[in-house]
Amino acid sequence: MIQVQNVVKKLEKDFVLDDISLKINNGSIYGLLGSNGAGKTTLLKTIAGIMKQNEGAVELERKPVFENVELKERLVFIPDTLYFFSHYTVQQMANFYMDIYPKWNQERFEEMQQLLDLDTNRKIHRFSKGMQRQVAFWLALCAMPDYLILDEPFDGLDPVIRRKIKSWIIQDVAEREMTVLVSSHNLKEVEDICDAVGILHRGKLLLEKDLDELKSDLHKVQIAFKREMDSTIFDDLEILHQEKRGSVYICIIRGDYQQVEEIVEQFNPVVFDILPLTLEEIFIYEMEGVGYAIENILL
Amino acid sequence: MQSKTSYFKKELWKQAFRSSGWIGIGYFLALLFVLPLNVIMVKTRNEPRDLSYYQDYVDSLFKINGEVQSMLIIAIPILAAIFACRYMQVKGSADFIHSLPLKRSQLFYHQFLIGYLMVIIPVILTGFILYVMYGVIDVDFIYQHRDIWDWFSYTVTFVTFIYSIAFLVGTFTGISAVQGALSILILIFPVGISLLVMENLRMLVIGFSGDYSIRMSYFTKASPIFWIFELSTQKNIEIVSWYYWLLSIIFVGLSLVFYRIRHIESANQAIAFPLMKPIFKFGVTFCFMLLGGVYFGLTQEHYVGWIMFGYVCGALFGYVLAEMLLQKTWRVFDQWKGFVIYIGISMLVIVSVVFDWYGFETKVPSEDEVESVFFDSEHFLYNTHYDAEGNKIKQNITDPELINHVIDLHDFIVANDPIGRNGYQRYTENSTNVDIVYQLSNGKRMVRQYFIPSIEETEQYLQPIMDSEEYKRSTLAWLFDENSNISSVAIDGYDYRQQVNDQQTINKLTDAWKQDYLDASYAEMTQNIYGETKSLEVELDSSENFYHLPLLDSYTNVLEVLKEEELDRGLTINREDVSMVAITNSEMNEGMLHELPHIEDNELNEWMLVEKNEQIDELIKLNNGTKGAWGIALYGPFDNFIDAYQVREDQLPSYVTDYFE
Repeated sequence: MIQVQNVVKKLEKDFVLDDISLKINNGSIYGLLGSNGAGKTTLLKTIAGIMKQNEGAVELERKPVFENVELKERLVFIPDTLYFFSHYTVQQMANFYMDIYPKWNQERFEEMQQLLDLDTNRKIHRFSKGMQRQVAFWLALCAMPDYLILDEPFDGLDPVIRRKIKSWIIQDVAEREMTVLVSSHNLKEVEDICDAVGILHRGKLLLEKDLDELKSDLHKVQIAFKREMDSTIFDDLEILHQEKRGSVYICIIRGDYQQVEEIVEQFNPVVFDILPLTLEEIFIYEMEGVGYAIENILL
Repeated sequence: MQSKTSYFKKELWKQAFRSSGWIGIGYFLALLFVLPLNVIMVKTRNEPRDLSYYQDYVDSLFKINGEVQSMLIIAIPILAAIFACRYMQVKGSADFIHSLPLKRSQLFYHQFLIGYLMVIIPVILTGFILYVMYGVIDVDFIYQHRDIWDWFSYTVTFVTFIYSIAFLVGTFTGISAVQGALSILILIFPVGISLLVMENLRMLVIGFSGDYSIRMSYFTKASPIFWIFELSTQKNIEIVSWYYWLLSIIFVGLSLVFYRIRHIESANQAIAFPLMKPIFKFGVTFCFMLLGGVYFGLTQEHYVGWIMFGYVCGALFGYVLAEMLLQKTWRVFDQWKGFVIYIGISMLVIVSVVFDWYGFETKVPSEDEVESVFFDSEHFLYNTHYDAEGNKIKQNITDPELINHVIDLHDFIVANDPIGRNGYQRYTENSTNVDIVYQLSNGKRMVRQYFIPSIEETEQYLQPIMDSEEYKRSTLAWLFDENSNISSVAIDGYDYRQQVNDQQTINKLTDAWKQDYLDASYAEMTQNIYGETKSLEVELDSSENFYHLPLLDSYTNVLEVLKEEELDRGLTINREDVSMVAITNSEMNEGMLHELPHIEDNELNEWMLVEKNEQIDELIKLNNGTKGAWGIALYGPFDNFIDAYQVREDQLPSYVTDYFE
């Protein structure tokens, strides 16, 4: 479990992280969303034990992660700009990981090599960007981390590689209860794998939600009545958004679905449909609720 | 699978070696060529000349390609430290390395040690090779076991010291170039900053002693660079090594402390710790301010307006430079507030110094405060206070009456301000610097140095001091010292040199000399000696020092002894020695004087050549130390240049003046 409590991080005089608290359960994938400069990378590096926060606590399993070798042996951080030692081959880099990470799985390394069909004696910096990223994941996953922290991992990758990497991650989460923290500036890139999402804006965490909870909590409904109704019918519902096209109402309603249904049924609607909500729509309405326009925060 | 708990990570060693191994290999190859190979070259050349050269002059291994060795001792550790620190200075690397399950101390030891090994192993290997060579081939005339040990221990001491400084600097900064530059700056900082401060005070404060030999020796010796170059030039130097080892250990400890609190995000920043940024900024500003002051002070001759201009320009330059480095952009012009505050404070300090708010310039001790005085005037270049024990100051005036003369002279200088604050210090034959060091009765010392444009003005004060036996004895301390052992005296005439090694003759000569010197009048002591052609050169056994003294015509006792011992050959220029005289009414220059006999006669428009014996006789006699617009040069039978002197037009015989009309 990753636990971040009231973390403040200053670079020079600027507050890059301003009182951040979040919690990530074991075996879940957490998406950290935010525009460029929101503080995502800083938060990830703080959680990975690279940077030290000025205030607050960053803990894995209730132990501070900074300078904690036992915890960091089970944690791998993959930065947005990959780093390999200069002129190192895959094999040399693998040897390095093997020496550093005690849980290194050589069998898996060889298996994945068959899969990837890469020459381990080639220098990594000669590979294409997509290849390099695959190498980074290959090495990281063979270290068998319990915590995997990924900074913009899918940025600029083609869909095939993106899907491949996502499947690797999901497999490890499912099989070994690996905990993943992944940052992105694009909701669509991560919505299909995340269990929970947090939105970071100017160093503050605006919103933190469990996706399943979000989806069951927010409903887009289409209602029409035989005769003109006065607006008091919606008084008992928590309406986030409402529009009327002819005699059809389209509403975004928060609450338990059965309750919503009961209330609406009282008025004998002619049409009463539940429409699917995309994650993006959910966020747009949620963010409106806290007073932000999502396009200002996420692309 | 290997041990999981091992503290030293094999792959980390490998990685560090892959990135910095070339330094060690390069250093080893360089040392190999500079030392063992050189010895083998000498050996196979098998030249008898080498044998005596190495026996006489090469007293340590630093004498073999010493300059190259010194450069390597400075450059290699700095280079090694730069590469050892790169892991925390390059952004990608810093993030990656610090995300690994390694403690910072663990990383530190790995990186520090591998860099240090790059510096140390080549020295150990080279020392070992030299040792083996000593056993295998006969190199006894070049070095012995003891020389290998000295070479090894000094080299290891200095490379360790420089490496530890450069590594410490590396933990402060996030840019390799800044690390290199700052390391070198810190190495020369003790001597550099003291020179700058002293030079500035000397410009601003009248009477401030710029005699570095008195105050600076400590600072010079604190700079390792001084010693490193001394190794290849000086004989038998003893360096206090433990001092460098202690500092090295302290620097390594500090490096670890600073590294552990260093923020990883400071990679790529000029200064890694926010607290140090203002220190760096104003330190650079201060140094450049002093430098600017010295530059304008020296080129514009101590004119206070220009010095102030230099301060402001230098400070501005330093401030902007530091700011640019810190912010890594040249657009820093909105940061003017700090500069205004800085320049305001420093101007206040400078003005307080210039207007002597501390009473330094006007302070003259009263008679009863002074116990003794060291007085020295550089007008007489041979009046050195060097003695056999080195250049320690010896109080040379204890007679209360003479002390009063010194105080009167001091009073006169303070009251009359002979140069004035904006005066030019024009060095002429009549100008002099005087050093006054008062030993006060309260145990303190008061040191002053003044420039006197013309000694004639201060004659009444100087004469009694210089006439005193006490002063005279102190100025030639090595001559009057009972313990000094003169091993040889050379007598130099205008083109003839004789050497005396016989102790009896030497004693006779020095006794006569002491007598003549003590008898010399003030006028003789202050006379211009630059044109003097005859001189004595004395070699002291104890210090291997040589002293030159002019042999004045008034030193009758000495001249008599020389005549008795038939050592007076070539001291005076006689008719027979001269075969040609050249006369000109324009200025003579040194190069021209030597080339003149080889120039075609028709090109010598400005010269008259005289070769008749009677005329030569007449012209030789004109050499009596007068100054004039005409120049006369004498040449020997082999067209060799002998002497040149100036005369006035009215002294010349008519056939000369006629020739030029």
